[in-house]
Amino acid sequence: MSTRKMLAVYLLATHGVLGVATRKAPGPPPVGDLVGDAFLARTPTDTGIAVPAELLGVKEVDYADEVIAQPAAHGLDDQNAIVALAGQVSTVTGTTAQLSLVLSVAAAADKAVQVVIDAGAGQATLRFTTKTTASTAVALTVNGVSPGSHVVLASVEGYAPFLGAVSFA
Amino acid sequence: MAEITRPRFYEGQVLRAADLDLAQDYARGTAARHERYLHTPGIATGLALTVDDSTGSVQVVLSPGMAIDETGRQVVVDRALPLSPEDLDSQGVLIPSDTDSGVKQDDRPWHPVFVTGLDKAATAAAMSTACGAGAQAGGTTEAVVITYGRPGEPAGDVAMEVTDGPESTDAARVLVGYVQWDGLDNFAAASRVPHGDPPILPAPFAGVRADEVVARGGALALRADQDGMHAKMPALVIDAGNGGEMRFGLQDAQGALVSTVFSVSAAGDLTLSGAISSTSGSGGLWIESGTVTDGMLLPLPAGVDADKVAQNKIALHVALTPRRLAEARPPGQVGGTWLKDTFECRLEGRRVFVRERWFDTTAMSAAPVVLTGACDYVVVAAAVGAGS
Repeated sequence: MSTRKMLAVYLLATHGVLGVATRKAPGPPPVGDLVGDAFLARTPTDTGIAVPAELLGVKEVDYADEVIAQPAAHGLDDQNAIVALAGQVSTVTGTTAQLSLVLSVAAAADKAVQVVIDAGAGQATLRFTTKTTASTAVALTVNGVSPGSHVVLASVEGYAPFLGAVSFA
Repeated sequence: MAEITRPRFYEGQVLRAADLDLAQDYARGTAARHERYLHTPGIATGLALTVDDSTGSVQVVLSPGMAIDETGRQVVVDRALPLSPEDLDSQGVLIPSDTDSGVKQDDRPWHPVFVTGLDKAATAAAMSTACGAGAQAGGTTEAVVITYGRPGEPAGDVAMEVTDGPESTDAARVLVGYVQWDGLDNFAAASRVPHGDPPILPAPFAGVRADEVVARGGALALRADQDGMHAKMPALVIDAGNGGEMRFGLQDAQGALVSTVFSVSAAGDLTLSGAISSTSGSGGLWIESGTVTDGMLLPLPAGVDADKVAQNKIALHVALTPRRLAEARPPGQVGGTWLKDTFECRLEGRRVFVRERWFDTTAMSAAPVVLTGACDYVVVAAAVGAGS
């Protein structure tokens, strides 16, 4: 076990890691100390979505360079240890009533799904949850999403999340 | 110079009244000198001014209690005493702003309320005539008189010889609170600690004159309690435990320190949960370092309050360096010779923004792979002094 530690900020629902920090002070601080009101999940093109702090937790875990390089490619297991996520949420398509996720490999049933959708400037982030079925497809009923392009973070327990713009017809 | 005479009796002595008075005076003088020179005058217990307006008319009552006056005399109020507005009116202490109808009630002055202990001859008792000496009082009543002062009027000083016992004098007044006139003919409010501009000194509780205070149980506590309550009141504790330490913080209802904000051990280790500020502008320094990924807030050093950073009471000095990991190529790439360029490594407030571009040197015409990244940081937090 490594004596060097880091703080992993993760989605409470799916245990998917979003960000990491190290510091000299021991122990995990409140998640708000590390993200403020929200974690800013950014796409490489500088669009992003604010993931509310109440959806997030923070755990002190063993340090690993791989997690620093790619936080979102990792999650926490039942013992709160860092694990690399083998699968990923490959694609997300949506309408204003339903969001469809495609997983790279079939999920086991009853895995947690957490989706947050940027509703636009000045609007509260929309958040939805569901459970997987034993399939590569996940369907999620949504509401309050206006037609057009919105940044979506879709996280499934055991899978690296999808983060990007989705066109809602 | 007056000497103190201690009475001494012998078998068969004919005790005169003067002998008995001397014994009593000696004891009273000893007690008074203790109160006068080892304590500061003020309220010892009770003597609270309360306002009752349940009848539609304001009535101010002084609760039972005891005070020590400047002469060392105990002033004992044995029952609740209603204050008389007529007394205040008749003592000539009202000023124009008490009665000026143009003055708002909140702006009316506060008049000090004093209690004074005075000796009065008790009613002649039946026994006092038994020896045929004529009707004389069989005792002295330690009466209490309530008086009022003009706004800001001090309790006054009484010149005392060190050998003096307790005095019975109008000059030995003890401040117990303040009353406000209603502009007409009655009190409007009463308080031990009224708010005023300039600030008004609260009626003092009796204190202790001591150059040395010694604990017996290994811990000495100074508690700033209020109305007999410990909860959320500050206390300073010098404790022989843990090798010796001093702690300051807030108490719980049982008087235990539950939120120590300052402590210093006998070894000189200082622990402080707040900021250090001084008029010179120098202050506390806190340092933290580590690594943080894109989208996170810059971690603050332990003990640094984010609110104080936001209020500019603590300034942050930050150095960010793009994180260099032993990576040959971006994630998901299996071939090629790649170069990494961190084109964004900055803060907005405390939010960290880091992005990097990967260029495949074997396919330079291809678009670079852009990823969010991480940076190493060093943050120095410095308290902004009050005078800076």
